[in-house]
Amino acid sequence: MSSMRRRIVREKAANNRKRVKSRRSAHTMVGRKKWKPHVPSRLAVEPAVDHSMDAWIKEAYDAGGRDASLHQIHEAVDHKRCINQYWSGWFLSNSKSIPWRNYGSISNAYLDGYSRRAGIARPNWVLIPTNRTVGVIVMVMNEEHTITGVIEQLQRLPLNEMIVIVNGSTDNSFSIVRKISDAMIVHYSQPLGHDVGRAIGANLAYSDILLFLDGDMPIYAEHLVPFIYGIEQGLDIALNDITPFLGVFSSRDSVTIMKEFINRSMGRPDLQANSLTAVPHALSRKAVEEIGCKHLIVPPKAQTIAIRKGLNIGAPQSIDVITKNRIRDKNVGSSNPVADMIVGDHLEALELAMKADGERLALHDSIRNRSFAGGSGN
Amino acid sequence: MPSRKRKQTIRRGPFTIRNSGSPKVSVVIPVVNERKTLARIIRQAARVHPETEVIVIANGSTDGSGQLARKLGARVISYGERLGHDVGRSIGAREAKGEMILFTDGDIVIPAEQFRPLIHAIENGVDVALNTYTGPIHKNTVHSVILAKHALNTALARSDLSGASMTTIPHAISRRALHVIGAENLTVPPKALAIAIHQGLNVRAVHYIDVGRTNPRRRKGFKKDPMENLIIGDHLEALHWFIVMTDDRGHKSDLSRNRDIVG
Amino acid sequence: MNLTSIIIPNFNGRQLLMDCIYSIKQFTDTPYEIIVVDNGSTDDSMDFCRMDGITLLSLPANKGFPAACNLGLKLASGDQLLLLNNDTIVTPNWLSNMLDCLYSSEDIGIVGPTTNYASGKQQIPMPFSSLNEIAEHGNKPDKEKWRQVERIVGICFLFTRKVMDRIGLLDERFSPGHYEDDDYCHRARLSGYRSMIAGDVFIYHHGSASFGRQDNLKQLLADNRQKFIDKWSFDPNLFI
Repeated sequence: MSSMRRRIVREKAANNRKRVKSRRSAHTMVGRKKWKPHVPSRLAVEPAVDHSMDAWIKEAYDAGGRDASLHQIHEAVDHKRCINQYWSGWFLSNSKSIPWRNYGSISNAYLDGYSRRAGIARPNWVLIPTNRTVGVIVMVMNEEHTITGVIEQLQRLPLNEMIVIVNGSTDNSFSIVRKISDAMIVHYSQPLGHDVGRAIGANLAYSDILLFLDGDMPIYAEHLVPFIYGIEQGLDIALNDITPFLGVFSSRDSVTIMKEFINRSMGRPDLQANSLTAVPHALSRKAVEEIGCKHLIVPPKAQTIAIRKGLNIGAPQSIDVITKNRIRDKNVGSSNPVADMIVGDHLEALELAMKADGERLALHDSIRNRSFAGGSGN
Repeated sequence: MPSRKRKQTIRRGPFTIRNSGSPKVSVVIPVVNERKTLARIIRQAARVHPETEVIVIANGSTDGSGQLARKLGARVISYGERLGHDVGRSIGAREAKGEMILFTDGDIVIPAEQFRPLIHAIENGVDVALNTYTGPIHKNTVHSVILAKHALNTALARSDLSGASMTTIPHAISRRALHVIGAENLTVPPKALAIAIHQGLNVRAVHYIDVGRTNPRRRKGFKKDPMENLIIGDHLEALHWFIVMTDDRGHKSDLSRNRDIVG
Repeated sequence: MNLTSIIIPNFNGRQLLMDCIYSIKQFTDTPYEIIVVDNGSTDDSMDFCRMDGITLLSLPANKGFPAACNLGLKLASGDQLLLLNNDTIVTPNWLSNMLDCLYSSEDIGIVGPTTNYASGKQQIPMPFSSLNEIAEHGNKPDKEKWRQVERIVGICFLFTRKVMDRIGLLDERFSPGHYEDDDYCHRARLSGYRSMIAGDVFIYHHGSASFGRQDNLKQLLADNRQKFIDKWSFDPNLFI
């Protein structure tokens, strides 16, 4: 074995050990665990892990029942949002003591208790830990095969608004969304180009917390909650943490490399390769206003602006959007126009930072005596 | 600095080298204090090609490296103070008489056999022949310098070069490349690479030479490695140059985004 | 690039909408975009928009005129904005004449045309006996026919982006409609902008009200007039 191969084998072994370790350490704001979607109570639920979880489940169940009898929630015009107000009031006042990883079971217990006492069928909803207004913006082109699944999951959440941007569609996406939902749908017959839909949606929305999704990938409502909670807890940008799904550096593509490079260049190595380029992610209203809807069209630029303005950016959730995309292919191959575009986006972002902070982004060359090299040195 | 007048003749012996009067290859070696390795390095450099000249740019030496190099038969250009990284390359390149210029460092001994593939590439039409060495990349988190090298190559639409770089030695350039890049720009190696690629020179990662064991750039134990920031800044400078020469997207299409639609 | 964003709220008015848009396409010679805000139609208005390539903002239910307009205004990217009823037919030079009036002075903020059916000073008897005649002879540019008023009706309501940036969107307390135009003109006036009738423009208005039966309409008018009075402490009908 050549010395190079020996080195590679050694490095891989060492890094495998390191990778397992880093996956276990939780350095995000909220837990990374993805809950299983709700199953009806007659089937098995997650077994209680420990005494405190049992106690909280009972408390939540009782709280749900109490709210059912005290308030006429089920007669409210927006039943789902109304009950969520009560739930989030209870949860937020107890949140310091409730382990986040049990959020799913505990919120389910509340809903169980509530529907039992109210005498209604147990709804398939997912309660969210916030009193703030929440909107979802979904980008759609030709997604008639997946959009139903996407919308159905979103309908389990107590949203204030759902905005669907359909552009350049030649299939039934629009009709399907119109038929199955109360969304506001904006329909452009021409394709607007990448990421423009997000800017349009953000411009129309009024909610305090905005979630951005693509119509081509249904995501369980449970898995979207950490993005919402991240903003509730003070993040301005809640990114999807794709780190667990990336291979070693040598296997990564151009886009991933640029994402990580710009994060480090902007002084945020902790963000690794996480980026507004990818969905899902969530923004606070403050982020939308500070960044400007127009800049959401070039996501790396938006992220750079956000970092420079000192907005709070974190990655509270990990959803595997990578594997499916890999299979779906548009992004493989040596000449990949979308990948090139994203690289170009990152250059736009760098240019913006350099205009403000200089061509070396404040990493001055104080070591060299360039006059000896001849020319102006610059 | 004390000076004693000595005869400028070089005593020739079995361990000294003979520089060619009309060299095909100029080997440029910037050196500060490298007494330990210099003799072996110079000898290997001299063996690269039958018609070779070895140019040592001694800057800020306090251990007599300059005199040693002269004694060994190299052309030596001396400076009393340290000039900083890569400045020596520019100086050496300007002084070089060869059609091909090979750059290496004074602290790592590389056998002539490892240099030769770079020279052969230049002889066969390559303008910038790079070391394919990228540093350790089979891990999740790489050093920022490695990341920067990869990012620059990506931006220049040469991700085939992976993490190869003109920061890394050894590498060789043709005289044509020197003319196009400009000697002064060799001081900021990533910028030199950007210029080479953007101006259409033939840039290739040619041969693997393992320079990782004693990486002169990495100083272990330093929390904030100033070299790291310098090199990253160099890459940003290179990217800035590229952006200025092209447009704010490096000429990469945004696939007809309709940007006017949002106020 | 002087673009006019034409915003057309629509509720179950497919045929009217088609005719309206057809006339826009026929008779508009300055750059424009059309945005239809559909208020939960159950006819095929939306299919028509989509097939004709017209930008469509589809609401799930009828949110009324001001809310629909406001969403269309948020979506609009033009330098000037135009709210247009779906039951209108526009005429040659309609927009260019109105734009001439709008930009003839820095302090003009809002312009409207004359029409056969509208409350207030904009209503005039039909100048010709058929639409064809209007198409052939109508709307010769004539700035002598421009005159200042206190209020322009929302049927065809052209204003600059500067005004919108300054005073904002329509006041949705006037949903489902009526007096939001009076309110807007008043706010514009308070900010120093004048409203003008471009008397050299005539457009046709069917006048099929979208707000339901007569007694409902009467009640709505009364309620909204009161809302205006509560807001501003004077009677909007003074300006009509």
